[in-house]
Amino acid sequence: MSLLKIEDLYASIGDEKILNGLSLEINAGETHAIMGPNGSGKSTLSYVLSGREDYDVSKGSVLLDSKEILDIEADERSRLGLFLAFQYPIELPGVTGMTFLRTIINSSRVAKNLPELEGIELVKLIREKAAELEISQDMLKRFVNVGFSGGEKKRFEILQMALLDPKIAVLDETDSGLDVDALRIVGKGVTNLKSKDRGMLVITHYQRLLDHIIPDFVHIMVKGKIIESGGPDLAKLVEKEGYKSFLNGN
Amino acid sequence: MEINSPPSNEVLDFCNSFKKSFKEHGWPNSKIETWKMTPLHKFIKDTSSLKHNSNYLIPNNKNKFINNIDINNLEFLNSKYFQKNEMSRVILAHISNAFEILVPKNTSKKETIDIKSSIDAGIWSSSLIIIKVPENVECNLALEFSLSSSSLCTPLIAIDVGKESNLSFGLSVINNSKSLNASNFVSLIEGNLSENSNLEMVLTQQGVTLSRSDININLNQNYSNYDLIGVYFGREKQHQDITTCVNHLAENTSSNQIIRGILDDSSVGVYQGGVKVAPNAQKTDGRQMSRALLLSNLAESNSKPELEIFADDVSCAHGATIGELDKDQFFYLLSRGVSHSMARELLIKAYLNEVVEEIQNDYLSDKLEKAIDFWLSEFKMKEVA
Repeated sequence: MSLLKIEDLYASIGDEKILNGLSLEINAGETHAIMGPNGSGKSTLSYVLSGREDYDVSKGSVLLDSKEILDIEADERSRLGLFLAFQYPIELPGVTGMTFLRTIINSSRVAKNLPELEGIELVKLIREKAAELEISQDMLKRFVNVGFSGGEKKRFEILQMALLDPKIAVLDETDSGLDVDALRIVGKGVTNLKSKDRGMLVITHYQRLLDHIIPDFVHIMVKGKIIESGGPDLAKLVEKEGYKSFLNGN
Repeated sequence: MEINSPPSNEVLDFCNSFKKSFKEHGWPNSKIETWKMTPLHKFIKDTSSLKHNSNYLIPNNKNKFINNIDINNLEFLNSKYFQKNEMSRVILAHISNAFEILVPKNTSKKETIDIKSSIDAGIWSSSLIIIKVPENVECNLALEFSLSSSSLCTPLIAIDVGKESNLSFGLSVINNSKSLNASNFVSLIEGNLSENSNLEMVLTQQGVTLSRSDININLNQNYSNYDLIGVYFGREKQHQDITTCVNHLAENTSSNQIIRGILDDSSVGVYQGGVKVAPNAQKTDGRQMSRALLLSNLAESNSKPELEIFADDVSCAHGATIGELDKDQFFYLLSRGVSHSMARELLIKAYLNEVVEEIQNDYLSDKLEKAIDFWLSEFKMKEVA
């Protein structure tokens, strides 16, 4: 079943055209990786999917579980089941981790017509998922992402993903700023979240993340479109030879 | 228990010189430097219809510590500061109450003396309130002025903190009626600190049409410290002004002033923060930071730090920012499914939470949190409408 269907997507910021007719389809249970050199439009794709306002989408369509989402707002997209793990998670001084998680969990539950979670039930749920990602209780008492290390920020992103249980998860350069150990924890956390009901789109520069999150499909993105698709071997080829051969072909 | 204390004839006699001075000079006007950003005449037009009634103080504590003012304790009003100040003449020429709060020596630091004063519609209350904290005492004191529409409140508060004593002092201004019609608060506050004493002040201004707190602090002796957390909330056409001057007059004195403002609709915020370091006040540490959050394109914030440093071994810092809600933070919340209105609310609360965390005294931080929640509930009602 198709959970995310991007068709002939064009987007720009100001006068700069960034996405140039990108198409991609992700079915339930599949993990796709998009690789590409700097400036190929990978992060723009993640922002356009999640509904950031600064981008102008001139053409194309994005179906999330068969519903067109390009004309709806970011918060609604999230409640429909789209999740973006940020490359650079935003600091929220004054908002503790617990308050933040309670707010996002209950926003999502209300959208699913589930009763809001409070008290012990809520704390239990958060603690359980946090422990899997080696997130300490102390970290949840701190302000969101303020003074977090690179690894802590990314683990906190994956914790949110685990709690929101999205249909489609987009992970934007989740490996950036991670050391080997953090990469292993995050990789394991994401792999645990793979499910037959969920699709994942992993955006990355490097093959190293894909050793931890094994994709079913790998796509090479250059100048705002996908120019080649294949299996995990394609990522290994990039690791060995760089993007040169793909760039030359364009 | 309600306490009423109209000024005695002796006190009225004492205030005669201020009466003369008021007749000559009237209210402060915009030609005076510290009044340029707060045009009083736009808010306080005709006071002739207001009655000069004394208002009650209602303390939560039954101990007898609120007294009539002893005339011998008014000597401080002869100082150059009060003789020259534009508001002291307004206040003392119209004096309607004179209280002295003598903090008992056996005050427990776990308790908070909470005193409420309501100003009814059509009243001009002009109180002189002297707060004296003796040596070696830890005391928490909260004073709340609650104004009705068409009322004017002009208190003069003089605080004296004795050697080795700590005073946590909460001062809040609120509006007790739904209508925002012409309730004005203009205060003059002076604090004098002795050796090794500490004054933590939490000031909250909310709901009234014009609110100005003019605070002058003298760190008279070594190792005295002053901390101010000032929070103002503005909506509609309200005008919020916090004007301070901290005088470092002895060695190893420190001060830290943190101001946060939230301005919606076409409200205006003013912070004038002065730090003066005398030539002998070596090793002074004086800091101030003001931030204003504008929630509307029509809201306005003015900030003016003023440093006057005559000693050479000091550390002083000041900073001011004025801004809107952070777009990236907003998008981050939206991307997690949080609605626009809830994201706004969460970020406004977060912006203020940072200062709540700074408050040492739990009673005062709870009080500020309640003020924040109250403002947010009104803000939400407006959003729904």
